[in-house]
Amino acid sequence: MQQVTDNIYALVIMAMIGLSLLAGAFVLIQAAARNRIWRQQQKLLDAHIHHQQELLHAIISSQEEERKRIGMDLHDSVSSTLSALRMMIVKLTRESGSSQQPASPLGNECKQIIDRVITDVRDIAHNLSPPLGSAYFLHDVLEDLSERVNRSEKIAMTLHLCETGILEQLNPMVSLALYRVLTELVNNTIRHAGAQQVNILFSVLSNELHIEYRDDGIGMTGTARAGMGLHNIESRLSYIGAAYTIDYPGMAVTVHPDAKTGTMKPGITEAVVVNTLHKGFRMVIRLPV
Amino acid sequence: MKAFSYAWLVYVVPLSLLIPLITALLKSISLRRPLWILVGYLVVSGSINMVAILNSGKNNLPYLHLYTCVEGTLLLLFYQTVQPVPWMRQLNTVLIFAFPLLCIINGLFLQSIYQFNSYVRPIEAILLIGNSAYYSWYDTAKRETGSWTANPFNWINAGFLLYFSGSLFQFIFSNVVSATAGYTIKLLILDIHGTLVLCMYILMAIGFYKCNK
Repeated sequence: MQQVTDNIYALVIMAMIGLSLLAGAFVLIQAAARNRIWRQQQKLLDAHIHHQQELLHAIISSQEEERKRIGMDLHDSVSSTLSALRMMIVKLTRESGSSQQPASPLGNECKQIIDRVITDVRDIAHNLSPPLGSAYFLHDVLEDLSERVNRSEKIAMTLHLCETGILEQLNPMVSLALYRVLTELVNNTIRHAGAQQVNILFSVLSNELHIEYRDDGIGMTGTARAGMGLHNIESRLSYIGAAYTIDYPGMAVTVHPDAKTGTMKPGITEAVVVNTLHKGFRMVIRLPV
Repeated sequence: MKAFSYAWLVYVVPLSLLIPLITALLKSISLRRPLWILVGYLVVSGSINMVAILNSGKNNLPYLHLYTCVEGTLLLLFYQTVQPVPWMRQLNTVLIFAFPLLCIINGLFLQSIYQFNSYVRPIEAILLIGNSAYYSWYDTAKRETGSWTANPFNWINAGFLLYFSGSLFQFIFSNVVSATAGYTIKLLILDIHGTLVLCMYILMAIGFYKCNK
């Protein structure tokens, strides 16, 4: 029988090194495979988010286009027809009476009704398609909104604007999105909050435009939180890359856009502790400028 | 060679235990329960090692028997909490009680405590290799999300797999090598073992570092 002359210590050392290399290789292969799968998943997720963003963009754009078309139709067609009708009534009233007789009460009433309808149609048209552009900026449309809200006498709205130059530099799409958000908030306050007062305060802090919206109503209920209004607000703020904080008695939520994906991510949800200083609903929008 | 091995085995490798320990303390707010078990393991194993080094003038192998028992139990407890499937957790629960019992039986009836525990130490290594291999397989085959590098347990698991796989043959042949090999060979084997320990501590430290709240 042949004698075995292998050095057992060399075998032990080689086994130790060999098994270490084997384990190391196993770990490296596993890590590489896992990371490759993860990168593919991230790519798919990014593509999905990008697709969602594009869809959101398309929906908002087509919505605005449609609103603009309806607004222009109302303004150009219905308003013109109503103006023509008013002129005809004025003419008819003049022809039916003599210069010595006063105009008939029916004619005056018709004129007043037509004037009111013209004003309402113009308001609706402006609301549908605010004329944001080269000479008409966010602060102008908000002043119009404030005037209309105060005229309705449902609620008192106060607007505190910052330096208007910054507002004039905003992209019209950004201005429009902010206008839509603030309109939605005012509508919510009028419909659900039972508030007497709405304050909108603009300020610029460390390269950010801060818009603080505050009412003195009942705050936000569970159904309002889950409703479409907040969803629309979030979509529009996500679209322009703005962060926001909502707080009302008992709750505060901060939401900011994800730098990578552009989607909105809830930040800190501080239950109960916040908002003890004021009642009502408060929202602060922060937009980089 | 001798001076290097002395510095490597007496100072560098034992003190490298401070790397994961300090990292764990810096990240203490973020550590979850399984990682606190590892902190306990580091503290206990570091203490036993220190006592063993201080008693290195005489036969300090009884400390190795104690060390094996504590190390095996704590690491099985760690895997008992991190294994993703119930049957593996249940198996580890049984092993947590069975392994120390085996160490006691080995120390009392099978091998002298003044010899290397070349039966239970390889068994411990095989149990932990099995645990870490299963954890790795499950992570690759079954989990659907997350990066490998972002998960702290993957780093720690890799450290255990590397250390126990590399040291398995040393554990098996420890009595044979101790009785028959020359001094240089013994030192070389211990140096390789020390290097594997250092790798395990570094991977463990990376695992602690990756912990986020």
